[in-house]
Amino acid sequence: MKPHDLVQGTLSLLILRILALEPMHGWALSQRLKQMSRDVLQVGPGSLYPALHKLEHEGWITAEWTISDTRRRVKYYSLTKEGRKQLNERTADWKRLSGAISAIVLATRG
Amino acid sequence: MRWIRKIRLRFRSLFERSRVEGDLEDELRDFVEREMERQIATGLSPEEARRLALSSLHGAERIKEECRDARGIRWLDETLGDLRFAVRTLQRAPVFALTVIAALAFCIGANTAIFSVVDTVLFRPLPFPDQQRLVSVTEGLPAFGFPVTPFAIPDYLFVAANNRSFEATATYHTESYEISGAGEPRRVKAARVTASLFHVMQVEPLIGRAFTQEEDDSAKQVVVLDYGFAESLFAEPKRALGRAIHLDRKPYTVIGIMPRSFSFPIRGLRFNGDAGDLFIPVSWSKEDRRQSLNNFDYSMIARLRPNVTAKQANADVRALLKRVAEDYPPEIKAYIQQRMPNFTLESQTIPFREEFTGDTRRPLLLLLGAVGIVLFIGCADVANLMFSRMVGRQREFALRSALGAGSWRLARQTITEGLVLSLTGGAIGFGLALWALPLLIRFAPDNLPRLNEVGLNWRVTAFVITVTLATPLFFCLAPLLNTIHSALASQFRGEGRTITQGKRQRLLMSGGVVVQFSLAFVLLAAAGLLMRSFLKAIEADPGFLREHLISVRIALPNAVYSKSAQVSSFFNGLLSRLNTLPGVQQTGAVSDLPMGSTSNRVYSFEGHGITRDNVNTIFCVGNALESLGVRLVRGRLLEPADEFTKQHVAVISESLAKRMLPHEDPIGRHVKSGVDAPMNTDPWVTIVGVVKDVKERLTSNSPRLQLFTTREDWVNDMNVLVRTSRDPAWLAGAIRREVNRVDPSLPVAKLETLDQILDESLSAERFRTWLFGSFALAALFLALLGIAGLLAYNAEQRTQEFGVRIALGADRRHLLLLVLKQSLRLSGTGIAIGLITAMLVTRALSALLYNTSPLDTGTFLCVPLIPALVALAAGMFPAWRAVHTDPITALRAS
Repeated sequence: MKPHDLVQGTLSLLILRILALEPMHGWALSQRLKQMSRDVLQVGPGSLYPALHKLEHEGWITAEWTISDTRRRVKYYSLTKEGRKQLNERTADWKRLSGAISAIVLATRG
Repeated sequence: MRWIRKIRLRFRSLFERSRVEGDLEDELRDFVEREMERQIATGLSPEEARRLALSSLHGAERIKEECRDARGIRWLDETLGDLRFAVRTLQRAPVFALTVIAALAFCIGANTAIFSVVDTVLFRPLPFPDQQRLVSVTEGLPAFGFPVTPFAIPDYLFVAANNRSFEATATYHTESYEISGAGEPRRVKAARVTASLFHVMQVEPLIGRAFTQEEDDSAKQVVVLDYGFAESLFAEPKRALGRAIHLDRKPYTVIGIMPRSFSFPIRGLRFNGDAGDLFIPVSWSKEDRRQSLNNFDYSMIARLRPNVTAKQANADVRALLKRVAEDYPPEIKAYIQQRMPNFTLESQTIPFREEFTGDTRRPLLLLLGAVGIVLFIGCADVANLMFSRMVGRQREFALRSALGAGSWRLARQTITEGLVLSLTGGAIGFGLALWALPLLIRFAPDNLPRLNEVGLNWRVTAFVITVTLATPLFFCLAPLLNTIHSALASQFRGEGRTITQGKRQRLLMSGGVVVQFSLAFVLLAAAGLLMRSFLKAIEADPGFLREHLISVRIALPNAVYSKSAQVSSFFNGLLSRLNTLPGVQQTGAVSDLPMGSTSNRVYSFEGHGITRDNVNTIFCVGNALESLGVRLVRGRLLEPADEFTKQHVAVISESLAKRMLPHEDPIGRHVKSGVDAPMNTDPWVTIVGVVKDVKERLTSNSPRLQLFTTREDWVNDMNVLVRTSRDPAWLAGAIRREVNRVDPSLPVAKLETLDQILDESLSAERFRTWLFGSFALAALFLALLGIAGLLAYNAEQRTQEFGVRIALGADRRHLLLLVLKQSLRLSGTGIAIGLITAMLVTRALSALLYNTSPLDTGTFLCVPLIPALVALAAGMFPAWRAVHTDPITALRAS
């Protein structure tokens, strides 16, 4: 599934959810996304990085530069307190919304 | 702390651009490398892995752009880019840019200057705390012909003591005093005020203190100085404190100096409207406080209690004055009952500001409207210039939108260009306004209030910024919408060659020029009417001979000239000395110059009742009427000997004679000042002559009730008149010397010729005529610019066509007519619309016109010629160009 097909704002929810597990860098995040969605969701850097930068600017995630074992500069993202609050709210919203959509889409025809 | 982090991020994005960009680069490279490693781990060759990894990052620039977008700095990037682009584009069209900037600078400058004057005079709150609670209270005696007057002292005292509406009340009255003991003796304007004035205004002296009620009651000779006046006397206002100055030769002690911003009474007030140089207590005597139905001189100002409206206060004061009238002493009551059954004592309470904005409101608003129209015409110019430029750029726009630039992006580009122009124009205009304001103030008429406060303040600055920012929107929007629309359209049509203007656009541009011409015409018509009226006023006959007549005001201080005989011998002595000077033909003295008499009375005509209207009364010494050159209708003029005969005599104006004695010979009739009541002990005065009316103002046509009589005992302040055989200016020194021979310590005011005085009396008319005239000329010039631009542009668009026509043997004269006809068609339509509009709106001017109808035929016949000629001239150059088109060049160019 292409990210464009994702319901708007869902990508940020996914990023927040994954970063809630542990801080990680962009590539790892995309891998984790793929793995957790059982290869259904493949988010390329073209969508991922703008989304990350936007979240960073919103103040929901924060970034830190570290030097990796291979002596590379790596940018690690982690969730902020505000981001955790957002995650909770959005998760609740998502539950309601997806439940409602399922109820309609999956309803057996009368 | 979230917002701190956010701000830090924004800051970093803005000011550490290269680092942020480097970070972004690193981040993406990290991704590629990791992706490559992953591919290699799955068994791919490094080259293959690299290719795949990079392909996942396809369009790295786009990703970066989107990240920048997410960081919210793209707009800045683009704005800077737009700015650079705008400046570069404008540099490539310097004539266009300079024309637009000059037009905008002029319009914005003129608007700013006029706005700052109008705003200060009409709109800005007065510089006193809680000024909206200040009200002006007046009395009125309609039965006497005084519908509105200042207060009589006993009436004021009663209202002040018994009202329930005011927190504090005060009165003031400006009088002229001789000051000595500090520099040269001279005349100053003194405001006699109650001690409460400072509480009412809620302004304290800057240095020292104000006088107290006790000092006022006990007639202490203390004085508070105006800041500017103290500065002029003592250089350093602080040094004035404690000094003694002499007012009419009595010593006063300086106890305070008001703040620089305090100027009172405010110029242009209906009564007592001269700013005071100093403030002294009123210190009324017992006699002053006694009810005499007389001397309505003191202006009342009061501060309303919180939550009391002017209307409520008005009702309160009216009720109180009713009681005053009921409590009049029996002799006054008896005479009112007998002579004036319809007598009432009226009152008006109005917000204080309205007391002085009444007369100036209309001319000022008209002026603001005129200058606003100039701005509008200027904007239309710029819009048309933009239009024609944009048509030239249509191909560029089409190309750019084909390359993916959104229409919003193109719009922003254009507006940025407009902003660069208007900001530059606005900045220069602001500078122009700074330069023009002092000039404007210098030539402003005397009755314009609060000019001392005019200046550039935040309100004016806000005005400039609004105008500057709003103009580009106005002049960019129409061309812009049009261009974007047609750019998109032509893109689909795949039009590649010369792009000509669409019909809609031609209509818009021509419409702009037509509107410009009609507006310019309205201004020209208004200016024409004012000019005609002004010229008529200059040439108007004042009712006396204005040439070769000099006047100097001499006021004798009461302290020295306490007896009437002393005053009489001073003036008669001075006149006989002046008579001996070479070149002097006649001399005399009048209590007031005939144009501006301050002594207004009602008269009883023996056997004919009283005059319902005020009669301007002028007291004369010597050959005053002959010196003035008033024209005798019948009887004789006043003579020097009349002052010393037992019989009192008077000369009346033709209008007064017609009003009171329409069917009889007035000569030999008797009149008396006031109402012919038993208590009126004034002597009967015999009418010995009738003269033509003397005008109050050059611009007034109303009949003038006037009475000239011999000096009464109390008059010690007179204008000495000297009629000379030649230019009177050279006599000034000699006159001054003679005055000081009679009394060496007497200050001699400026000597003015009557010509000068009459000339100055037209300062308000001159001011607005000049301003309207300049704005009309500016409007005409801007309209010229508009039509010239449009014609030149049209001719250029048709260069190729003309080339072909000429090549095919077209008559060049025909082409010339073609261009000129277009010019005349546009301007003609504009003039026609303007003519109709002007006929509808010039009525607003009628109050400002003298002997000139708002539909004055001469003006409406002449004025259309000016814009028509201008339009013709504007057409000449493009027409000439069109005729001299070289067919070869024209065809090759395309």
